[in-house]
Amino acid sequence: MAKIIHFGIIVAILFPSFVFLSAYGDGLASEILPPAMIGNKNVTLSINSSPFLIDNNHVGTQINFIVQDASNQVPFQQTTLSVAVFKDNNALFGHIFMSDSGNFLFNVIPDNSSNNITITEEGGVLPGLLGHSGTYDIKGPVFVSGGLYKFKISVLTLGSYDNQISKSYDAAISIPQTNQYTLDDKDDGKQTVTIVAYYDTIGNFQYDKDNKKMSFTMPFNWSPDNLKQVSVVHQELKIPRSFATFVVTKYDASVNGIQLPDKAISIDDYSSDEYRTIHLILYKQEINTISSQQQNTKPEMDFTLAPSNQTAFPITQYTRNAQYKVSLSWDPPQIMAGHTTKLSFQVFDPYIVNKTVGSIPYDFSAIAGKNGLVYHKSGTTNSDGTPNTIDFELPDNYTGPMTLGFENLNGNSFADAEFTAIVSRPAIVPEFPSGAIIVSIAVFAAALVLPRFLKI
Amino acid sequence: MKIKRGVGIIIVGIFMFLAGHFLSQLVLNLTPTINPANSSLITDANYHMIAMSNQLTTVSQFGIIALVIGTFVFFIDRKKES
Repeated sequence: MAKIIHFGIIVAILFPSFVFLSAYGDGLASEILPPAMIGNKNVTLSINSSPFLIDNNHVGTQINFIVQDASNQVPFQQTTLSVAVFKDNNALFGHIFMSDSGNFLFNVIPDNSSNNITITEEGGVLPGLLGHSGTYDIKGPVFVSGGLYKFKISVLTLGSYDNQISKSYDAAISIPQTNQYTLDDKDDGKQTVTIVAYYDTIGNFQYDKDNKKMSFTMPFNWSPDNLKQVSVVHQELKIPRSFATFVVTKYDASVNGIQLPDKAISIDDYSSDEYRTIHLILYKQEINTISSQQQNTKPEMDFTLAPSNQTAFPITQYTRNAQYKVSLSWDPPQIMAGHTTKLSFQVFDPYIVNKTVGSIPYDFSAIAGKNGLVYHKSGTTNSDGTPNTIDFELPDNYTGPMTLGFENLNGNSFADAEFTAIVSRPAIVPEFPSGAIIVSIAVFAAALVLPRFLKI
Repeated sequence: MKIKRGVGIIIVGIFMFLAGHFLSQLVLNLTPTINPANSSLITDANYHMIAMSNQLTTVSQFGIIALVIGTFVFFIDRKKES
């Protein structure tokens, strides 16, 4: 028995890689860079990062590189990468990474306590002795702040550690940065707007209170090479529901003076009861359009966002269980306290274009802030697909955000959709003051009569 | 002082193993990788240093083989002596 134990110890010392096997993990966010011919192989680099959303509070990130054959997605064995990481044009670290399987996994552990970045290869006491697992721990001040981290990746060997090749790839990983800005609006007072920048850090936030327009700037490289690689630029603005000026059905947004199409602006009233979330999402097509039309040559994106003068009706929302799509419009376009509003809605099949679902029961509620439920109606939608109407009068003592909710569609408690609207105060037409008339007449009469009596 | 041949082979194996491994890692760590301007000098240095690191890894692997052979020789010699 003792001999077996001794043999086991010797094996463990001599073959540490067998004892300390590392687990491989796959990421969620992924990108496959354009393939390139190296010799007779069509080689591409697959990049995955996990978690999908790396935020300011993350505790660790896994980054996975796979150098693979583009034709069959099989990794190349015995691959060596030289990886250098840059942020804001400053080099953070660079290192040589080797993997027998062609699969690289970097466990990035953000640590602000030290200025040094340490990179250790996993694989037991003497990693790399009998092979390279490709799993590395990177510890230090990396990914501790939001922004765009650029990777310069050079493939040095492929297929065998002796087969030296030369191919470089540029990649990037964004860490969202959350910023809060307090602004002072003429009508709604002080408001705090939160902006989550998913591409790179933003700055120079300004609010034009006269034109009701927000603006901010983000660095962006407009070079053709970068445009080829960038798949999406995403900004998320959280607007407090009390900021009534900005809780509208349509927005005007622009980048470098180029108006964004409606499809680039999406409104989310579901995620939070306190905020409306506005997503500005620029896909490759929109970015290319801006690039070709803009006059700006600065390496940045200048965003503006303002409530539109137009009303975008109908507003559509999917039910929480994605069973139905509800479209809603109302008349007059501006909902007034103390006035009757006429709602018009239709319930559609979400999977067939413009097909209403026929006659189904529903519950409608109008909830006005602290006043709670101000109107409720249960009914059945029209069987012929024509718009359904609901007339309801709002209390004259309430202004501000109001939730219009459709619930229990077809009896399903998960089939509900909510819309946010703003109740405005009716414009008060000043009555002509009778007291002022009397005073005016008296002054006028006095002006006529007094001179006679006083013989001026 | 006369060293038994098995022990001698083991000592050489240990030296090859440790020196090869740690020098290999040292060369890898010293390889310049920050090359924003795509300097061919740095790229060439990368290839040479990786080749050197691989050769040192091979030395350390030969060291393991020497260790195993030395162990066998040591026990065989001891058995012969007894």
